Amino acid sequence: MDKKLFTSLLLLSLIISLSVAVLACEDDSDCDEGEYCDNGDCIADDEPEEEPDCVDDSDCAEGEYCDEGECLPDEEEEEANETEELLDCEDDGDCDEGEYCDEGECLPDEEEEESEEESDEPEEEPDCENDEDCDDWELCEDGECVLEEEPKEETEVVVEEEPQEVIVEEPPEEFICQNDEDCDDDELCEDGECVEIELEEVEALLYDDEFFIRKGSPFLVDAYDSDFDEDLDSIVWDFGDGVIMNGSEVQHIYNTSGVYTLTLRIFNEDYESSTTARVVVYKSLMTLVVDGKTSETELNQIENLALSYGIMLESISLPVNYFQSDYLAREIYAKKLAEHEDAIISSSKIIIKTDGFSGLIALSQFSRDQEINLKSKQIFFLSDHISDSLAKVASYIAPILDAKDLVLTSNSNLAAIFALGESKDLEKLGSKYTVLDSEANESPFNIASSFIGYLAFSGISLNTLILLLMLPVAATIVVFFRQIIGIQTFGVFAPSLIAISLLATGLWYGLLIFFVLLGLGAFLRYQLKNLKLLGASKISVVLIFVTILMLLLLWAGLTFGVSEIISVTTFPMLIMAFMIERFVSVESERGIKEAITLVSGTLALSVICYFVMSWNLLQMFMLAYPSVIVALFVLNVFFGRWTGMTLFEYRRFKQLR
Amino acid sequence: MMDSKYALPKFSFNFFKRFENGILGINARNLYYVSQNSFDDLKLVDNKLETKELLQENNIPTAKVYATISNRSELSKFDFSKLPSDFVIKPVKGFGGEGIIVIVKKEDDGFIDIKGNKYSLGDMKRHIIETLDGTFSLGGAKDTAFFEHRLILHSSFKPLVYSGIADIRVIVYRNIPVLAMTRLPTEESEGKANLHMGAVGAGIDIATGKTTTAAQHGKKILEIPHTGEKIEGFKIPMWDKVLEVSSKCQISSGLGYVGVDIVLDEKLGPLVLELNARPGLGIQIANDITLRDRLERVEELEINDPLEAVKTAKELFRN
Repeated sequence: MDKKLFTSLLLLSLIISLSVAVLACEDDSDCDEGEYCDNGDCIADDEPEEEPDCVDDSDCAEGEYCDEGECLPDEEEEEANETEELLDCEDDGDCDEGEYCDEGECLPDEEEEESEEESDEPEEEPDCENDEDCDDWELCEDGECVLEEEPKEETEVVVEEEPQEVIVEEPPEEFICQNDEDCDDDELCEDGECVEIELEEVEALLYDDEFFIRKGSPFLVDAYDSDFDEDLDSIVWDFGDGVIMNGSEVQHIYNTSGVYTLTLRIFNEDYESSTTARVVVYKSLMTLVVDGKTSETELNQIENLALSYGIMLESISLPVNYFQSDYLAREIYAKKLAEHEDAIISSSKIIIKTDGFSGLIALSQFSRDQEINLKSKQIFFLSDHISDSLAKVASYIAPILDAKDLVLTSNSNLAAIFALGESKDLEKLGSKYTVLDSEANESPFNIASSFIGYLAFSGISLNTLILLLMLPVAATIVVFFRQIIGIQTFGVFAPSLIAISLLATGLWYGLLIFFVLLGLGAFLRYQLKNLKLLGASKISVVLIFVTILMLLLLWAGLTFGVSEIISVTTFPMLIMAFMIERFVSVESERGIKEAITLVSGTLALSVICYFVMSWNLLQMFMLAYPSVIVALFVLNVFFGRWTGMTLFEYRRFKQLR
Repeated sequence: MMDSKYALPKFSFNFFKRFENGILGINARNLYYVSQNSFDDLKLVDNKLETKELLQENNIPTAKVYATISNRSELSKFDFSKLPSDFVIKPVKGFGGEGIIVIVKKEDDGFIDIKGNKYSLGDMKRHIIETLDGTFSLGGAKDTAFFEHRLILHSSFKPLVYSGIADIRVIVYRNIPVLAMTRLPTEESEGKANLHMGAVGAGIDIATGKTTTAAQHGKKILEIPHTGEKIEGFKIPMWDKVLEVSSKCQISSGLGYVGVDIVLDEKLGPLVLELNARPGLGIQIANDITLRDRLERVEELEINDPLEAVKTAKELFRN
């Protein structure tokens, strides 16, 4: 097999070198004069195109002209057909006597004797007064008979002049009315005659069925989407607050917030049509950020509650996808917030009501990415479980957001926040709320957390920090499961690293990629056994194929719109390649059963780590108290000195007990 | 007190020891026993050739190494005609039995292996070059090939072995053989004495050298699968010699805790195959005997004479 490979490689290189040698030329300079290089061959160059006889007429003999590089005799009949491009004349002076210049061509004047005379002084003696004076095929223009094929500009001039005459010529003989006022009430003046009005059907239509207006600002609305005749039909607006207006375009200022019904009524004697729209007049605009934990109906209730306080709520629903991890979700949330940038900027208060602190992190990510200044805004984070760690994490986020206030409060305070309206006075909120200073917490007793706070403030994404802090947690979990439970894995690193890869891809896609890569990689590895390569190149070859497969997976991800696959980076890929190598070596040493046991153990632990690492409360806790890592160290020492049997060993040695 | 070079951990945790009934689990094995083997010990047992040299220096019987080839110039100088008519060629760092050729017959123009395949001199050289290049070593490291005496399993094992070579594993601690089993290759294990792959592990009574209980895949069995041969009561030939060799291995290697793998050769008797610094725990299931309490019983002993060690073992450990 290897021999075959070698021979084919040799053949290939031979063919390549031969084909290079056979080439007679690379460019024209390699060929004799009069030859040119075409695909490596010198070809006699007998085509004249290369050397034109002439460039312009001056290169040709007299009586010839230059046409596409060839000198052609002027006398040729064909010339006449081609002259459109070659102007014989620009004005009549360029032509022989007895000829005139028309569209660059010298044309003979009428061969009749009269024409000779006329051509001398055509303006003084017009040879025609109207078309009838001319031949059939000619028109009379400016006293001259001109062929019908005249330049368009001139005909346009003629058209313009004509209507003046028409108006004068066609005054109606029976003069009844000049405008509608001359007629009866139910009549219209039409073409000077009074005609009875035929009323047409009307249809009232508004361009929107809901309007949001800030209290005190002008509300401009028009009826131009409707079907009506401005002169004949009545247009009546009822703004719902007792104000009624007429006209196709109206403006009104609401003085009280609330929800009004705007009615547009269009009518005439025969027909009538009306339409309504909701007008929400709000005192204040707020942004509400919720995630999938808040249902559609719940959201509607909140919006109605807000309206009852005269608050217009711009709600941003963050998508929930159970296939993806929080880490991925937060990045997506930040992008989603960016879509609602305008609403956030015009809101005086931003309310975040998400499970865990994802919404808060997403907001900080968003304000940092989009460079949005939140200084004038109050941000409320609603949670029913305000823990110390949440407050701590929020205190990291506060300086990043740099808002007027960052307030932690419970869900029950929602109405109180709405009641605040534009007021910034938090005292009105009542008892339960925590305001976080936008200045970073400087407690000398908690160096670790102020360090994390500093990192977050300096631009390291909280997501990254969480991921980093969760790594020791993951490793400790792996140790626990290995030492105490007795799950066998490919080392401690593999499960922790695979768990991190899963966080980047989401659980299901991550596992899918894992199995595809491992399956193909192991298959390849067995095929490579026969190739008898050195170990290092075997691994490299597997890596090459893993890369190709990854490219295909990326393509599939793009084609089927699975963004999770696209987010897989080289990092998990290398872990996979490493796993493949371990799998194959264990398989050949201890059999396929053992290898599968190890793979499943590794995978099971990876999934467990994935879930622990995506546990919001734990993330918050680790972020709030990074010094917990020291406690993990102690825990690991304990596990490292655990001499008890593992849970699996109790089962394995069941018969001995 | 014990004269162990390696102090046991000063503190350790096990809240459930009373539920363990003397079973040795992997954590206790690693922390108490394997940890007594130094890094150098582990490196030594990982190298088959070095181990053999050490054993030979100490007059411990082992399969004879006829020659080693560690580079190409050695290969070009090598005189194949000096090899005996049957031998085994192995990579030093090989794993999973790859790269091993068992030659049973020498002909004028080549060699015949155990499966009847013919190897010309050129084939043989090519195989050795592949070995040197690391084709069979883990991670592709440069390797050495060596020619070894071809083991012929003692004929008394015939009824118990489907094919391949059975071996005997003896756990030795404080120079005393503590627990032993014989690993019998089966059809499933493809002739390899590898419990993971389906070989049968049969416990041996230290006192008598007779097989007792047996297990395959961690489950008790009474008969050899497929052949139906009863396992219990088979007397291992030259048992005292086997125990003595095992004890000697620990004394001379200095390993604190060791599993000695021995093959009974038809002509040469017990030959040490290799030493194992992390012997598996499945031996407890094969014997239906817990290991931890046995290890604790010899913990305080200081016996440095192999014969005395065998005597003590036989007294202490009667199944």
